[in-house]
Amino acid sequence: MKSRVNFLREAVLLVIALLLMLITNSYGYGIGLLDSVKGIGLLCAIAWVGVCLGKFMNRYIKLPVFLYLSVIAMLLASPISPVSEQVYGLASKMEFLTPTTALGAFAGISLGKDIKEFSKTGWKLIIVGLLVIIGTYLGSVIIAQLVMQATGNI
Amino acid sequence: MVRVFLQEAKKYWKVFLIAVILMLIADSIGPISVTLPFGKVSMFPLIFAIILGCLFGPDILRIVDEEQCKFAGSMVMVVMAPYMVKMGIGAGHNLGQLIELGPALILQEFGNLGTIFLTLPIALLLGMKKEAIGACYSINRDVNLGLTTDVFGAEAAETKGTFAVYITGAVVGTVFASFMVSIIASLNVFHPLALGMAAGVGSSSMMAAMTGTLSQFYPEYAEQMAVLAGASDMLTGADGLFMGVFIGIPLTKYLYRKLEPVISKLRHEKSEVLQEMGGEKDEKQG
Repeated sequence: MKSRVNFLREAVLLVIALLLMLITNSYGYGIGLLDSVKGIGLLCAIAWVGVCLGKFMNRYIKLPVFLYLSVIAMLLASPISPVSEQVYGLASKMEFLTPTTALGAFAGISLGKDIKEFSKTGWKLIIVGLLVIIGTYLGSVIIAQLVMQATGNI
Repeated sequence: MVRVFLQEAKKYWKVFLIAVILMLIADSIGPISVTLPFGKVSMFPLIFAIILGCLFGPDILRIVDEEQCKFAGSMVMVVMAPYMVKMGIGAGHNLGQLIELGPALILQEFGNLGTIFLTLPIALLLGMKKEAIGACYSINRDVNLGLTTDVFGAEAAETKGTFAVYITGAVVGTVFASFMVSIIASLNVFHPLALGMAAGVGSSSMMAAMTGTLSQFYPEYAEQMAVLAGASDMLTGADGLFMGVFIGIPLTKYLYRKLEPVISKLRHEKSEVLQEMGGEKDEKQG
């Protein structure tokens, strides 16, 4: 019973997310409303299945929920899937950056609670905090570039 | 059951209303590029929404309270789900290329440790001690915060370091990551595929910000970059904990023991490492 409420709650939240993303897709990127509903609707439906499966499986084995929905999505669009072209075609009705505006809005509201804590952080730690991002990114981009050059991919 | 939902709607409607307003403003502004002497800086709606969004919280405008902020945080994960599906579908469609780039994808994961070599010496030069270990060993997102607390204890200096970097990343990380990637892309040194792949640093919002920025530099690679960033972020999500436990923390501790005495001497301070060794204090606790 409790898990049924949870799955329903997840569905309601995803429908809200869908409505919000319509703003960006149709108003921001100028894609027709009907196409947007179809594309984003499919993505949200797959997301719902993946999240529910992930939460259900969590009782038996602890894995990140996003692993499930990524794998389901990947299989659906991979060459082995009979509906791969349809799935890919529908999904491309949503721009890649469409979810990012809603993402930014919620992330922004959410970090409103951290401002005070952040203002207490010393300047040295803030510098280190920014360097950490640079170091993590630069390390990866250098290795990625070198490996792809070595394997002749770029 | 319906009552539960109505209760929640009553508690959180403000969050959704603010989100809609923020999105309308951000999408109306659209993407912007500014050319500065040191490179081109690109911004897109996500950045505007974040900067405006944090104003509504309990620390500034007090329109939403802490609980509503936390709910907004959980909505990030809800929106993230269809985004991940979109990347997954892109990955399935480009499966051949993804497999071909497998070696690069896996090896660049180790690049995430690059932070240690860049950050630890500077942290020590700034005069930080043990908190530098927690601060420098990873990008310090949620997984790492849990790990550091687990390894060093909630009150340890190391955990304080991790927490400070965690908060910095949460508040300014996304905007900073987008700015940084603009500058690095402006250098014209790295291939767009490498730039995209590296964006999977283990924070979904940073990844979204970086791929969004990058796709303004290289619109023709937008889909491939997003797919690679998503795959690499997925890998980081799966390996981040192990990276930290088996390489990140031990390596940072080792370098700390080597570097701290030298840098303390430079700063004309007493070395904490040498003192502890002299006092025969066992630094490994619990």
